[in-house]
Amino acid sequence: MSGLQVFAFAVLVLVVTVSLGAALWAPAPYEKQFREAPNAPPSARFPLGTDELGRDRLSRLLFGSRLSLLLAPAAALLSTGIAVCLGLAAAHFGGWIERAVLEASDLFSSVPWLFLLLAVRAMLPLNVPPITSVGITFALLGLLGWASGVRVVRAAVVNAAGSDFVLQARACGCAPRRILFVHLAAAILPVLTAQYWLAVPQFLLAEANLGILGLGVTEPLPSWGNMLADLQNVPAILEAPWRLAPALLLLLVLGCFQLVLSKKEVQP
Amino acid sequence: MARPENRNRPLRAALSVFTRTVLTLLAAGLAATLLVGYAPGFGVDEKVLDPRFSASSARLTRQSVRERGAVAVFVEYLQHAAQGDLGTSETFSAPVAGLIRERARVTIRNLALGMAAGWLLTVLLCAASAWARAVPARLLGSAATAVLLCVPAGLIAFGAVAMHLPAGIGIASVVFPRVFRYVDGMLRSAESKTHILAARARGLGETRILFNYALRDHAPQLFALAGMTANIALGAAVPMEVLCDEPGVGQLAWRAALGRDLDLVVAITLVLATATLLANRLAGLAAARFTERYA
Amino acid sequence: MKLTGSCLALVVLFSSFAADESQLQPAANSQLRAVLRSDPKTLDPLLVEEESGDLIRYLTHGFLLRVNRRTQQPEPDAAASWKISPDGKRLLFRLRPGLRFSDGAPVTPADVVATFRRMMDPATKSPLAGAFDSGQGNLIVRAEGSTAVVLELPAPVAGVERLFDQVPVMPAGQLTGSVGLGAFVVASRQAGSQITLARNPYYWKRDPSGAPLPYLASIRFDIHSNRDVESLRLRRGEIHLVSSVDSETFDQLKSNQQVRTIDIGPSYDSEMLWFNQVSKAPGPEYKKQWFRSRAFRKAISHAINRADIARLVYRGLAEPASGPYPAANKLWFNSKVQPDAYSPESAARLLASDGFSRKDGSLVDRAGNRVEFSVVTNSGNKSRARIASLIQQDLAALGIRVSIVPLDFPSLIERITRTSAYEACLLGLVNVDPDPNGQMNVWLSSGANHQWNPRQASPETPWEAELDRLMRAQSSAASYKRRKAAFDRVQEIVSEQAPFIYLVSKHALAAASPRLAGLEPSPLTPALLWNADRLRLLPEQARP
Repeated sequence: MSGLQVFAFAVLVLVVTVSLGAALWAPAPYEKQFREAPNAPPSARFPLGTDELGRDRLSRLLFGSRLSLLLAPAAALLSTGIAVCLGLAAAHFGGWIERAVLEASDLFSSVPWLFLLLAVRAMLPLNVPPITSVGITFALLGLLGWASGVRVVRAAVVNAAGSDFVLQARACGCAPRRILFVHLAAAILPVLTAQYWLAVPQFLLAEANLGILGLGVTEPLPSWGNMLADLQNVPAILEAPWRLAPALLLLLVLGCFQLVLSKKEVQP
Repeated sequence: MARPENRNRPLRAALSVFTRTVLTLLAAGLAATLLVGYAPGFGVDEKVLDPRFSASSARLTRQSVRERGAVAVFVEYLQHAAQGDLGTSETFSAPVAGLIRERARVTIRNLALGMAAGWLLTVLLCAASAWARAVPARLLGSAATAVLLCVPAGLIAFGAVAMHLPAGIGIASVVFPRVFRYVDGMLRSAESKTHILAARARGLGETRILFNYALRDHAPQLFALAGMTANIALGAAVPMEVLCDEPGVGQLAWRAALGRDLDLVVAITLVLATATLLANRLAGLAAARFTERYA
Repeated sequence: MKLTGSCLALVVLFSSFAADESQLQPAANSQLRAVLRSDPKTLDPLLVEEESGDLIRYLTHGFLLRVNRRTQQPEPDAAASWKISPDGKRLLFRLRPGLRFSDGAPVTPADVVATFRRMMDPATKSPLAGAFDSGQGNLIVRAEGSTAVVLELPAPVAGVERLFDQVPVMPAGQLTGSVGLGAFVVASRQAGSQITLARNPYYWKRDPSGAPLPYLASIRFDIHSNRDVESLRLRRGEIHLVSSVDSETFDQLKSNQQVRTIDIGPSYDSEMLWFNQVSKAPGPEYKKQWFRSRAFRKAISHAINRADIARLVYRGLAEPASGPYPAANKLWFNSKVQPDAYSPESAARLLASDGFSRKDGSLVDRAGNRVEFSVVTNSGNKSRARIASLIQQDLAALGIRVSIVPLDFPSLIERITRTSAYEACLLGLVNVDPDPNGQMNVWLSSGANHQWNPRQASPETPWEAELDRLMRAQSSAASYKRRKAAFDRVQEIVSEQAPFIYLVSKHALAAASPRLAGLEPSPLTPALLWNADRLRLLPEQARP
């Protein structure tokens, strides 16, 4: 690990720790309205100022980060897991299984799943806690997000299957299952790791995009997505540049992710 | 006797691909019908909240998927589609075929710009770093990738609006980092392979090493990536066109989804599924020419 | 006093714009550029339903009478004069002599007759027909001589003159086209992207100096649904006006030298909260009991800080609302009805009188059920989300737990109109018709828009029966005084019973280029373009 990577890792650990302990560090509850101080600039009392309702932006940022940093990796794990299982099955068994997996991947890429998100949200009981609703949204994103990964996994397995070490293993009489789960799995591990760590920012970004489009985490629960939606009003950013804090934190976190993992990704 | 069989094999393969494509398209259309038809709010009209329109004057002409079943509604849709009638949009009160035709131009322009710019930039930076072994080119590409991968498409769209740029540039900003990351990663991994080291030791030119060895070795992944790029660009077209307010198919799809516009959603799904499948099939065909299949 | 102040402000506003008009000359062949928020679904003026189509109809068609958006009174347009019989059933319109359609053809009474017949034909399904359909017989339209038209109504319709403001006069041979009597004609249209209107060379109006109107050579509407894109384009000078801006953008535009901001005053739109009182609605019976309790609803109303909503959500550009109409509706607003004062103490007293009490910091009813309910609202509306958050905190002070559920619009409509599967709803009402007749569907207990308990077979409460009686009385009364008295009482009952808890009336806010002269902003639609025939675009150097 280079010095830069150590620094990035330290930053990530710091952000994750601070976010997870949001309840301990946050100057105020995220929904608490200081109505006498709406749109306040940064000060000792409100380090990142307040929003239109007088809510402390720093507290909202901390609680919003916690939500995203917990749920996005979970959704990425779910989608990568599905992609790995299906990609391995497609590459190993070939034939109709491979065709079915690839067709399913095409199908998943072309069907408007937006409805499923809308439908699930609309069908949830009205008194369900907002955090449950958010969890279900992320779970859905994870369940639906495997399609792009499955082709990469399959291609990597196909590529590795033609390697000398697989030929040698086969020549030595290795069982197909052992070749698949020991040799091929080890060979494609860097690809899988890369796929997972690429998926994490994708889910962080997916939440942000849903928030920007008005379909993400809803008020008063904070998230990076609904805080970034504020940036649509470009002139307001010029007046109050501290509004950029969620975007900068997102950039910092994802940048650190990439720096820390850049070594792993390029490994053959 | 063997010769006719060999002659039939490509035909059978083509037929199989065709059948699978058609079945996938039908499944996509049916899934869209199901999702729209059973989505909460299907068949309701915003006009019911307007006191000016009494119940008698509100025109509720939507077909009820829930009453007739999604399969029956979809089959009927296909029958009409076979006669060239893709239905009428409830949201826009206009024929679906006309709406898609009008907006396809904008989206095709955006996609072409986005994909071309994304790939071109990748190729230029990779070639620069390979030919000149130029560290700055690789660093520039990596830095741009790192930054762009951290920015949500929605924010890129805000930037495009603020800077008066077309949605296509926004799509390029989404496509480029994903393409560059894979291609750059592949090339880096290729550098340490023995046959590449050997080729370099034999004094082969960097261009030859890049195209004849490094890229060729990873042709299947590259073609899979090409197929994926089309999907990424199509996916990015929706938020870009919505937030940049460009009247393309992406914006149409968004409004159709929010309006539970059955005919329009099914038609757009079929169009997008066809585009996705075509991109993937072409990528698959090209990949097949470069690699032997895993037995 | 407040009303007088508003009137004075409007007079000052109008006179300042009038001064611009008299001092400066328009740019030659000027094209006004603006934005439509949606593509009109149809240009057939008898089938128009949405705001964008309504605007195109307004600009390209003439009407027998038009409502002057400044005085809010009907005045002659295609009809030079009109007369209503004492029983209110017979209307005689004398057409303006020398009128020509935009294709040059003369206007005859036969055109008016053909237009009305097509409108009333059930096969046309015109949304305009319902207002003339009293259910007691058919409307008879006939020509009288070569210059007059007679309409015979089966029963009198109160405020009938206003209804003609939306019925275009069209040539008998082209009843579905865009040929009309308006100041402009549709010159080109690119679906989903642009509509251009050009000056109608046969437009009948002239300015006081005898010069032909309109002053503008054309109007180009770009179609954009994104409000931020719209205001950015105004800043860049790519468009000349925005008819409706939100308070945050309005504040930002104030400091921009290239833009003139216009606060038109309280609009006709209001934000409100209501509880589901449908007896067959799903959900526990005890909650329905709360929602049917007047004391509970009034307590909630007193617990909501309307001034904070106006200050924090609308940056002070809104007024606490007391009823269905704001003070801007000079004809129908009941000044005796005041918004419920913010008073947690009053709210607590009302709740205590109804058997509610505090237990472990939470409010509980007589049976010990914790008071908590959900408020559905439409997603994607920032202002409404903020109002919901404010209400949530206000009610938390009483020990009431509120969960906010934003739903996309179709899902929300399904819940509030079909399944009744909700507890409370926060929504806005856009009043396009300043006359109470436009709200019959809201206040009649049988109405589909009687949202708290729609489509009742018979009124379920005495006060709803009283509302029915009063609304019917006002709709059949011939004199304004009697109508006003009846509708004043309607507003009082609504305030007493709080079936809708009115929150705020936001101001109508607009912005325009300083080059645009002749503006007479109105809270009624089309706010800035109602006098488009008298708008002028000044040359760059002649800015006031």
